[in-house]
Amino acid sequence: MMNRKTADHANDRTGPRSLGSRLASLGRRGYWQMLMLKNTLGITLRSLMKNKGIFLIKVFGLAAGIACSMVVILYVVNELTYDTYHPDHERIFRIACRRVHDGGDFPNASTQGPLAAVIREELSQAENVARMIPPLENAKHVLVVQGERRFFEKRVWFADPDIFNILSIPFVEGNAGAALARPKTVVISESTARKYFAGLPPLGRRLTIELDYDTGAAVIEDFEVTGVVRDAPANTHLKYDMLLSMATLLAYVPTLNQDWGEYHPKYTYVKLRRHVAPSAFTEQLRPYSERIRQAFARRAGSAMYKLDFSLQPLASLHMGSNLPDEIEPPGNILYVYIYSFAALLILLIGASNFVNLSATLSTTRSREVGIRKTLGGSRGDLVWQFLGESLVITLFAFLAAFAFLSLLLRFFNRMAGTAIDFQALGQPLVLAMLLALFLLLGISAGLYPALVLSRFQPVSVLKNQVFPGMHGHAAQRLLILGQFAIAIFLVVCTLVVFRQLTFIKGKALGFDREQKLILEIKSNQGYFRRNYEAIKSDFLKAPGISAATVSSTVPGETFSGGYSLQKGSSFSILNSKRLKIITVDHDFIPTYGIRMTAGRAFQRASGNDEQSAYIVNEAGARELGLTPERALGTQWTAHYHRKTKTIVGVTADFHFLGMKNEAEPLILDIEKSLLRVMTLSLDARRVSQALAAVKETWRRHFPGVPFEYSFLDEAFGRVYQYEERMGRLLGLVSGLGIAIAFLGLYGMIAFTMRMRRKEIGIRRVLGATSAAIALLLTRQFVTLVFLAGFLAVPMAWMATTLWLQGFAYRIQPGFPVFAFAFLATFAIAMAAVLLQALRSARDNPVDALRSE
Amino acid sequence: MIRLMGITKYYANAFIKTFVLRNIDLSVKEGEFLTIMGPSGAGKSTLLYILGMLDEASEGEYFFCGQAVHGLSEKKRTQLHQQNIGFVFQSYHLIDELTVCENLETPLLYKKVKPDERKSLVADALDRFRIVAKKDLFPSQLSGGQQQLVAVARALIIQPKLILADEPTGNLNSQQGEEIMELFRKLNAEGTTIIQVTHSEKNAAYSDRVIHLLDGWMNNKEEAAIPVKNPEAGKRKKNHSEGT
Repeated sequence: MMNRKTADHANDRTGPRSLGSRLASLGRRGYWQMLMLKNTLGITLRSLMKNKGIFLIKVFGLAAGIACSMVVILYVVNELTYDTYHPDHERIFRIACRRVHDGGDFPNASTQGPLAAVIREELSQAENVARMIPPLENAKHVLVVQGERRFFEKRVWFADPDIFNILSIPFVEGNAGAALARPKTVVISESTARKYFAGLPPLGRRLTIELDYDTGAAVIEDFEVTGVVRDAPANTHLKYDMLLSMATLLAYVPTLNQDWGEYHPKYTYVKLRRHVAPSAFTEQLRPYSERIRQAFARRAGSAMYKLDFSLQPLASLHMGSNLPDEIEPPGNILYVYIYSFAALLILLIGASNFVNLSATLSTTRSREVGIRKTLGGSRGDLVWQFLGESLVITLFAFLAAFAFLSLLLRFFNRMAGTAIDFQALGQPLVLAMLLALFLLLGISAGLYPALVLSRFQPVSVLKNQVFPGMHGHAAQRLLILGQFAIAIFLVVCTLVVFRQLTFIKGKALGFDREQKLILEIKSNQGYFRRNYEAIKSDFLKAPGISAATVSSTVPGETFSGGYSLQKGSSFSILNSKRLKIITVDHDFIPTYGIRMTAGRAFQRASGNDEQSAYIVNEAGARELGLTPERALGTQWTAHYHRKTKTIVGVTADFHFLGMKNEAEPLILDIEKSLLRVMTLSLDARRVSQALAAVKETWRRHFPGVPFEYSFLDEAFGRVYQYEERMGRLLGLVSGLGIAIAFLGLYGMIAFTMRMRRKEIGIRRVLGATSAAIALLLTRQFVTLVFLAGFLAVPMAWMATTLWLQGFAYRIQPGFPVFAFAFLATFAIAMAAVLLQALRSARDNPVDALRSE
Repeated sequence: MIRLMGITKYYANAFIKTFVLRNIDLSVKEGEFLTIMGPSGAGKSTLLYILGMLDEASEGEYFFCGQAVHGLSEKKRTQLHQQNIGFVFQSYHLIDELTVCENLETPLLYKKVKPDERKSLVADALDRFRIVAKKDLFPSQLSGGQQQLVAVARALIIQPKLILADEPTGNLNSQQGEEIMELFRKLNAEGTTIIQVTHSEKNAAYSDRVIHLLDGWMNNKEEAAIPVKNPEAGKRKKNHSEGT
């Protein structure tokens, strides 16, 4: 490659000279630099070989930093480029709506079904409009069967055919215009096609899909595959594996295009014509929103004050929108910052290591500098030489980083729950960032040696007048200080995160989560809800099952359903209070071991709890404005089912979502319509026997539905997943950071010792003890690490305090944490220093002196 | 070719000036072979480095081929130096990490000689000094004499007008030293100007003229006592000293 470049430049030189003298001289410069590089590359490699250890430390540290940065660049680019790959994405919007009525203010990511039709027919400013509607009841697990293959699919949508004119969903087979025109047609992604058809041509084949959309019972129908599209990339909020034709849904729900009052999520996407301002379009929607408002008011029999539609730019959805019913949990810019910051810190440690060791090593080159100057090398020549060398080494580090990358990326994806791949590396933005990083690192590492060494006077170097003293240049001391400050900072943060996690995990949750088997009813929910008592008692017959209960949710699941409650026996949405709802059966409270503060739990013996009893938790009673005792006996009517029931009991607070937040105000109600999970209490001694029996019972009640179960412990563990991810990430980063800093210090000291061998020899001859010499050599570094501690501890204190604010229950990171982090880092640094100091103190001084 | 007028070099710190050279006047004609002698610390090497443009005088004027060196920018000075001057040192000062061939090549790179021309110059030098077989060896693989031979070859490869040698035989045994000095004599006969610093009377005998330095002062009185190689050179030198 070098030769080819040289040749190119040679051609430049023989080319016309009319390009302007400046350009020509630049070209010449580059040409000579190339020739020089050939000469200096040899030097670079050979002098590296002379100091292999330090070279490896340098490259390893930098490569680790670069690899971390690459992963984070990929992550950040992925997060920040969500949905920007759609052509004309600036003109594409999702319509969000906001309803204000007596019950409160309800923004939502979705809209009503008829809106798309209105826009299509009446608003010319829209070029295209289309809806994406999840199959409601079993949105997250649609059973799909093809011959022997049966899977639950998660990313299934009903789609208007126009969606292909709005979003970029490239067809591999089939025709975008016709694919979703008829009922019972489906377009599938490439990987889905492989999954079900394993290489057979999918077009025209059939998939059996179970759907459950407000039709009372599940419908199982055959769909014809009419198209295959590319898989959805990682950076879209709207990921899909199967797109079902809207015409299918219309057959089930004939009022889909007329009913404004129905709120199952329906996402509406619109592409505006060129040069139409979003605000102008929203303005045009206003009369319609008024019409809908009135229609709703008539239907619901209550006042709706306001209905607003707003346009959300497609590319802003991932980071910018956090409404109820978002399709994907929104991106968290906090994590973008935290990860970027962590990568930056590692990069800083790696780079300062690199600069530091380069500077240290370069002192051996002073003689070479002197010779080169006597041979006619100018200062400029030498500056270029050292910069070139440093770029070459940086290049090595980049190559090593690429080798690391796949490993690290897999680790990161598992840790951060992302699905980032190498593809993003090819993006011009990423390439530009990597190139910038390369130049920045290469130049900054080469700059110090380049500038300092090239300034040496050859005379003094050659006469050995200069002792290129490695007693620590101020800049180098600063770099070491910085490295250790960062390392201590990271260790403190890691410790605090882990201690906080241990703390909240150890706090009493208010319910019992041991030995619980969770069965989620994903298919055939209607059957389950009608017959849950019988199904439950069947499961209770299995050996090793001591208790069973059914509910709408189990610990560890986020859920947003709530009841708007009105005191008394009539419902007006005015003055209603909102509590989150868990629908349960009679056995829920005893099975989960939830304690009662006042009143009683649900009882079969009391006859009619299903129709007449509510239970709230203490937070719920507070939300209703009552103490637990006074809440007992009060009557409330829920908007959801318009039933009036009496509060018969108040439970102690329990934390289904962990101890990050205070307990939420909750109401428990025996209400069939939302039941979807069964909890079985297991006897720990008979787990496998119990599992086999449970599976058998499952088969009997849900034939053809895959048997999937989870243990509550594991599922619940996920409530702290963000914190645990961050903890693990910090652990990794601080481990890497300390490793690099340690190796850097070790390398630098090893080298210093070698340079000072003669001095140490003389001191020994003059009678210095080993201890005295060890002290002499370590004193400086001890001071540096102490200083680093003083710098890092306050910063770590601030950062962790800020992070802890996010927890309702938190530790007070005190002196022990900081002291421990500091001492641990200090011990590691001292190990690096002392190992070397003792070795060199033990050397025979005569050898040292003779070697000169 | 060279004219020094009132060259003084001192190192100053807050309290005292340490003089290395005091008021040196010296002219060297093209084709001359000059020896600078004197005890250690007399300022010989410093004078040599000033002549070689690696060091600057504190005071005084230095003309090289009519150009006022003391007035030149660092860049111009480097240019002048890389075109005209070759150095030979007592401790050879080859670059350890480069092969013989690459060491020879280095000054040509700085002088920006074209690749093909460079190759032929290196080949010539290897040939001329009979070190072709050693071209891929590193300095540490050579004996002292061979290293000095490479160093001389490297100094000559840019075809300098002036060679500056600082105790060139100091680290060599007598036979190797003689070979190097013979080489200098031959080069001088071919027209290269040579200035050497040495302690050795034997080496000084190879030169046309000797100047003595003591504590930074130049003392020309002993000049007459030095055996002169040929009358021509002696006359030239006399004229020359009259000129100063």
